[in-house]
Amino acid sequence: MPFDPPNEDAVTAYYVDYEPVPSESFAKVSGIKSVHRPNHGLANALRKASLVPEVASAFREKEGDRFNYSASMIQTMQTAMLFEVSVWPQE
Amino acid sequence: MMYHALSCAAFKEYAAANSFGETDAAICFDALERMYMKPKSDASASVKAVFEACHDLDLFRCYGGSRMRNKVTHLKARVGEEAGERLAKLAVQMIKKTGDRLLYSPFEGVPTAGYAVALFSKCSHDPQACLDAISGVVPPIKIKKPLMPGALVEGEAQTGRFIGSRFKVLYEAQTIKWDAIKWDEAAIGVQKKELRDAVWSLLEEYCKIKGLTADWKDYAHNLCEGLKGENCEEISVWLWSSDYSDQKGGMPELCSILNEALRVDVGSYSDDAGQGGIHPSKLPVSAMLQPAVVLTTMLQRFLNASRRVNKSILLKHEAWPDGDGDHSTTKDTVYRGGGLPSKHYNFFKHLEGTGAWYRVPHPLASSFMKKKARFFVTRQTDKPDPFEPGQ
Repeated sequence: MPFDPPNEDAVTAYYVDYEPVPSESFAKVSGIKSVHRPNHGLANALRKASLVPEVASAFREKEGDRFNYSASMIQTMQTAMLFEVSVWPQE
Repeated sequence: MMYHALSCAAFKEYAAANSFGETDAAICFDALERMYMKPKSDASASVKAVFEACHDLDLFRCYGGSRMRNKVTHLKARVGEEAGERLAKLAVQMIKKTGDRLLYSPFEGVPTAGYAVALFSKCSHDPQACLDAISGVVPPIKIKKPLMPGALVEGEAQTGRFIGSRFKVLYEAQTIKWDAIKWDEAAIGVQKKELRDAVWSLLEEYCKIKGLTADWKDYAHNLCEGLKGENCEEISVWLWSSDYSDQKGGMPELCSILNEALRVDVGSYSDDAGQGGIHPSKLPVSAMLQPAVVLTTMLQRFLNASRRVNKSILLKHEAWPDGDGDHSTTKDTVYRGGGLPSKHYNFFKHLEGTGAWYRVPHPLASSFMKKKARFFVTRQTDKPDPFEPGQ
């Protein structure tokens, strides 16, 4: 439950779903396929990858040419983001 | 961290097996591996910054307001206010378009929401459907505008508006402080202690100001002895709705004491000395106010509907009055019963039909049942005007 208080020894709190969405039982009734690990699934990966050119462009406008990437580099960066998962606790 | 290491290795393997430039892939690997850590090289530092921003922007789905505002502030410091705002909007809209949960949204017109289950499932199993959703037309979003005070209504006290009250100043300060120290994430024991300290201070100052000889410590002990709740939301509800009082000692329920502290502040403050008010710097600040602000901020912070979540689903409306006669007198209606000092009658009379709003300057209890409101009316006989300090 996202707003449950974290354990006292927890470094930080995260609102992560460990259960599939929707639940397996609801999936059987509704015919909607469950998503396991919903926080770090396909949608999360594709959204982050899709943000790469937009974010790179914003950085380039503000901080200059070190953020000026070739089209192939942008594609590589987007691919890398597809593999990027949670990096707690540093985030 | 094991997942992180495995996913970095998987990218390296994938890049090597496909037609990616060797140098580009190596830089991306370094950036990926060192996210939120010291960069491995100058070449990978900028890529790492882009990766981190992309990761942060997608946290609207699972981060609360205080944490997410910090993320957006950090991004704006790098890319500028306008670009940061645009990227944040884009990220929020992408989350909505793909049916994901949106735990926090700073944008009017894009409310927080739980999963749109069917859409989210589709976008989580069908890459093309997901990409189509992301690249869909993005409607413009209005930025929330700050509330501005309206014109005075006849009969309205000219010495107090909520927007200029000391309460609001202290409330903003309290919110900023809690955001800065990430109070939402504090251990429940720490939160409970702050709650308890505020209750004790409020009761002590209430007795001092009222000149009561009641044993406020005894009141506090008795009140807090029954303190219930596994989290601060539950505790706040319990405190607010507790019917414990010491009528002999002149101490009503905690909710009455809290509201009096808030009413007296708003009713005696002016930010415009030129209109007959007294400049705030000339007025003493009630010692009841600070603990009252802490308690009120607690209620607001934990009872705001957009923050309430159960089993990962944001709770919108748990129970509207349904007018069934047993639990609610009239559909979609709540009743408020209480006393109204006669000198304030004209204010409400002149407000009628103007379309203007009256904002209650404190938490307001109401009931689904009309008879319950009438019960509270019967308790008001000969009570003093609570807007008068010292009453």
